[in-house]
Amino acid sequence: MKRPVLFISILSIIFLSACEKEIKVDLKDAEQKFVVEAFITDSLGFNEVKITKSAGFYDDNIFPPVSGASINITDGNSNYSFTEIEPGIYKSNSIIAQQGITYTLNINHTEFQTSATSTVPTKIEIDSLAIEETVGFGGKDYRPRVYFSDPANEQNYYRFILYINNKKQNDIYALSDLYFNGKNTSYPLFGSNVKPLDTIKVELYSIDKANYIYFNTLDEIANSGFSGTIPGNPENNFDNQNILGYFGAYTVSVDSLIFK
Amino acid sequence: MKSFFFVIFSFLTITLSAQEKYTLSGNIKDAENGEDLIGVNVIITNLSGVGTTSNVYGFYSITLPKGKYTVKYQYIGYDDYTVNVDLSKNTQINVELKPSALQLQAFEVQAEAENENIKSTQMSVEKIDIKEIETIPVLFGEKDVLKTIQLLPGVKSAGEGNSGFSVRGGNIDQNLILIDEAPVYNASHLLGFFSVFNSDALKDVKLYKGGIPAEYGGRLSSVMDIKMKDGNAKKFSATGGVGLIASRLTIEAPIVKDKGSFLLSGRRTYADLFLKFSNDTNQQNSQLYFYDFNAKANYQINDKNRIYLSGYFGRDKLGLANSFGFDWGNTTATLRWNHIFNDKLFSNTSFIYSNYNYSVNITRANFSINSAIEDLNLKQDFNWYANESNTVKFGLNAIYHTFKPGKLDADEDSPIATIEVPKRYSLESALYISNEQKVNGVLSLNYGVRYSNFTQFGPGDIYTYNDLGEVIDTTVYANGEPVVTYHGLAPRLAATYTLSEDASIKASYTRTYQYLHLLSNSATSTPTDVWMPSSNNIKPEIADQFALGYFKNFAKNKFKFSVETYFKPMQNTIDYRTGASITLNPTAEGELLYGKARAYGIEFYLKKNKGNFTGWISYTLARSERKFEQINNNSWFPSRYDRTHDVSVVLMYKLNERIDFSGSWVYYTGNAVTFPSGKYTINNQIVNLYTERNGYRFPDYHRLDVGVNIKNKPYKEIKNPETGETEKVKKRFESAWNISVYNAYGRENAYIIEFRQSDNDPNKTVAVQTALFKFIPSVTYNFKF
Repeated sequence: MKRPVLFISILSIIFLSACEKEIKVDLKDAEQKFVVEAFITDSLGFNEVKITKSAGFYDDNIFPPVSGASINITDGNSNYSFTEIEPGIYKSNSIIAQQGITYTLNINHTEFQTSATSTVPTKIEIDSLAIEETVGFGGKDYRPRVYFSDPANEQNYYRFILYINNKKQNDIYALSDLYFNGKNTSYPLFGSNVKPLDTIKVELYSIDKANYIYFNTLDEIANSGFSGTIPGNPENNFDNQNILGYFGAYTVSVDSLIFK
Repeated sequence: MKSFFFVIFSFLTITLSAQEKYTLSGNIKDAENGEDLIGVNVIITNLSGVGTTSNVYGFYSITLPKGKYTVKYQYIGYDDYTVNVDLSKNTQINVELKPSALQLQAFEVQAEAENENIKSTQMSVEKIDIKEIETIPVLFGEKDVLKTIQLLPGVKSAGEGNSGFSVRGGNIDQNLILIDEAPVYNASHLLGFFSVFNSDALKDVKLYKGGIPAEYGGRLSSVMDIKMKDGNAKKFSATGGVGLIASRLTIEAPIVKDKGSFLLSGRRTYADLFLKFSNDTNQQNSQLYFYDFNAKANYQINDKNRIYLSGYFGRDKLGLANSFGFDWGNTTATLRWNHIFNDKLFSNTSFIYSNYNYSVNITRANFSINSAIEDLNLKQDFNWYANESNTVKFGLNAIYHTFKPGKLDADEDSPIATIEVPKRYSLESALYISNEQKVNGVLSLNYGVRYSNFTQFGPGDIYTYNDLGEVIDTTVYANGEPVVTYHGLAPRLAATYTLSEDASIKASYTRTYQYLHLLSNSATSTPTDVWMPSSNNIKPEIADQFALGYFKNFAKNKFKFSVETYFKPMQNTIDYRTGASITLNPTAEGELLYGKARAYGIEFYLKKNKGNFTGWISYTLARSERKFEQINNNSWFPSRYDRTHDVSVVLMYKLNERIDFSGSWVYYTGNAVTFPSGKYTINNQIVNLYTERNGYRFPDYHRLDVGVNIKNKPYKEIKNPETGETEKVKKRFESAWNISVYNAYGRENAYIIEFRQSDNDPNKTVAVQTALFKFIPSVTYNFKF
C-alpha cells in the first residue's frame, strides 16, 4: 500500500504553510562499499552483473565502476561465465534462466568475494495493459494498470518496471500475492503520470521471496520521510554482509501500448 | 505473596486501640453546579497533620477519637468552609463549596495552606487544571489536554503539533489513557494533530509518570486518568465555542435538581466544508473531518447509592469523491455504581466497554478493510478508611480483549483476494491492594501490590518464527483453549518524609507489566496502527521505576518547586526489522525484534500559582536508550524519545478582570534519528547508505506561542433603588475572544528531513527539511450561560 501518497495529500490540504528548504546536515562518511546488481532472466542475452562502489553523501552522483571481477553463475550442472563488456558491467551470452532451477552467483575480485543464490519462480504473463484515469485532490491524472493472473497453489512475488517513451522509470513496484492469491488481478502503477500519445511498456518480473523483500524494503525506505518507516540498508541474499545490492533469477513478460 | 499481605495487615493493626472512635464522612460538591469535587482537603484544624482528601466521586471519610473538632474543607479556587463537629457518633456531613468570589480570575488561588504536594505520598504526578488548558495557546486554537501535558517535566511530544507523548523515555503506547475508566486506544485525530478529548466535557485530568498507584496497571510508563464532568445538577447551562477549524457545544442540566444531572457535548471540525466551494467536483464530494461526542448522566438513588453512565464516541472521516473512504475512531461506555457500605467502606463497580476501529473502503476495486480492538471490562474498587492513619484500597479488574488486527473483504470480481489477519482473544485480570499509612507526623507510606494475569485463548492458528522472522511452525488451537499465560506481581511502594510544613523528600518504586503492544513502524500516530496481545512470540513488557524527589514550597505556597530523578530499566522492548511491514500482515509478529531499554533523568519544576503573574518553568535532563541484538551490533543506542534537554516556560499574566495574556516557549534537543552516511546506486536510482540506527539528531527544536483572552464585561452595573449605590451583578451570559499565534517568531522546525537528489543539480544529493507550522494565527470565540 502506498500510504505516503495518502498522507501527503492530507498534509498538503491542511497545512498550507508547510515549507521546504535545503539544509546542511553534518554526515559521517561511511567506509566505501561494493554494490552488486545482478540478474538473469529466461530471455537469452537479457542478463547483467553490474558492480559499482558507494560514495559519500555530499559527493557528486558518480559511482565508480568496479572492473576486473571474475564472475560465474552455476545451476549445479553447467557453469556460465560473465565477461566485462564495459567497465563494471558483465554479461553472459549463453545463460537462460529455467523455471524452478536455483542459480548460484560467484564473484571474485581482488578486494572482495561473495556469492548468492536465487530460484527462478513460475513464469506469470501480463494479460493486458490499460490506462486509467485517477482521482486526486490535484485533478485528473492517468496511469497504467497491469492485468495478470496469479496462481493459487503457490506464493508469488512480482516486480514491474515501467518505460514511458522508452525511458525507464525509477519507481519501484514490488508486490506479493498476499492480497490477491489465486485471482485474476490487476495492479495500478502508482505515482506514474502518463500523457496521451505516450508509448507505455511494462515488464513483469516473477521474482523469489528474497528479491521481493529486498525491493519492497528499498521502496519503503525511499518513502521513509512521510511514512516514517525507520530506514536502514535492505537485507539481501549475499553471503558477504558488506556487499550491497541483489542477485535475482527471474522470468520476464513484456507488454506495451500507445495511449490514445 | 502471602507474606506480603501479612505485612500490610500487620501495619494496619498498629494504630488500633480501645479508644472510642467515630467516623465523619460525606460528599463534597460545587455549590454552583453540583459537580463532585475531587481531592478536596479535609483538615482537622485542632489536630496537627490530621486530615483526608475526597476521592474521585467526592466522597470522604475520616475516623477520629470521640471529641470536638473544627473541620476545614479547602480546595483551590473555592472558599474555605469550616464547621464545628461534636463527634460523639458516626456523623455524615455533606458539603457544598462556593467558587471563590474572584472566580473569574482563573488563577487566583485562595487557599492559604495548599501544601498537599508536600504531604501526600504521591510523587511524579501532574494534575492539569482545566482552566490552564483553556488559557495556554495551542495550534489552531484547539485547546487540548494532550498538548498541555507536553509542557510538563518528563513528558515529551511525539513530534510537531502531535498529541502523542512519551513519558520518562517510554514509547507512546506505554501510556494508559482513560476516560471515565475506559481505555482509549487511539487518542488522536487527523494523524495526531488533535487529541480526541474535548476539554469542555472534562473535569479532572491526572497524569502519573511514576509511583503509579496499585489500582492502575497494564501500561509501562504512565497513566493518564481523565474524568468527565457529571453535568450541572443545579440549573441548565451551556458552554461552547466557535474556532478556526472546529466548533463545540456542551449542555448540562439537572435530571432532578441536586439528585441527578446530564451532560452532552459535541465538537466537529469543518475544514472540509471549504471543499464545497471548489470548482472541482471530486473535491466537492470529498470529506475530511472529525467529530467527538461525549455524554454522561448520573443519578443519586439514595444516600448510599449513585449510578453514572458515560460515553464517548468520536470519528475521523476521510473520503475522496466516490472512490475511497477511510474512517476511524473510538467508542467507550462506562456504567458505574457507587455504593457506600458504611461510613468507612466505599465501593465502586464499573462495567466498561471500549472499542477502537478503522475501516477503508475502495469502491472502485470493490474491497474494504476493517480492523478493531474491543474490550469488555469489569472493575471493582473498594476504599476502606480503616482509621485516621490508614486508607486501604483494594479491588479487582478483568478485561476480555478481542483483537481484530485486520480483515480485507473483497468481492468475487475484485482484483484483490479476501485476507484476514487472525483474530486474537485474551483475558487480562488483576487483583490489587494498597494502604496509605501515616506512620507519624513526618513519615507517610503507601505500599501495595498488583497481581496480574494474562491469557491468550484460541481459536486460532498460532505461528512460531525462526530468528529471521519466517514461520516455521503452525499450531491450531480450539475455541477457548489457552495458548499462553503470563502473570506477574507488581509491587508499588512510596514514602514521604516531611522535613517541614513546606518541604519533603519522597521516594517510590513501581513495577509495571504491559500485555498489549501497539505495532507501528512509523514515527507518528497513524489510524492503521494495530494493537496486538502478548503471545507465544511477544513477551509482556516489564518496567521497574525508581524515583526520588525533593519538594519545596516558598512564600506561603505561592511558589512550588520540585526536583525528581528516576531510573527505569525495561525488558522485552519491541522494535522492528528494517523495512518491516505491519499493516494487514498475518505474520507481522515475525517483523518484530525484542530487546531491552533503560531511561533515566532528572526533572526540575518551578510553578507560581498565585497572583496576577502565574506559570511555570520545567527542565528535564534525560536519556532513553535501547539495546537489541540485531541493531547496532547489540550496543546501547538512543531511542526516538531521547532528548537530552527539554525546557518549557509557561507564563500567564492577568492585566485586569477582562484581559489576560499567555505565552509558552519550548526548547528541546532534536530527536535521535537515522540519517544516511553515504549513497550508492541501484537501477540508476540513488539509494542512501546507512551505517547505524538513530546515530544522528534532528536540529534543536524551539517555538514560542502567544495568546490573549478578552472577556466581555462580566458584570452589569445596577443602581440599587433603595440605597442609591451602584451594585455589580454578574451577567448570566459570559463570553470571551481567544486570539493566539502558534510559532510566533516563525522558527522553521524540522518535521522531516529527506535525503534525495537535488532538484537543481541532478549530479548532487541534498538534505531537504520540511517545516510544518510557521505563524499560525487563530481566533476562537467562547461562550457560557
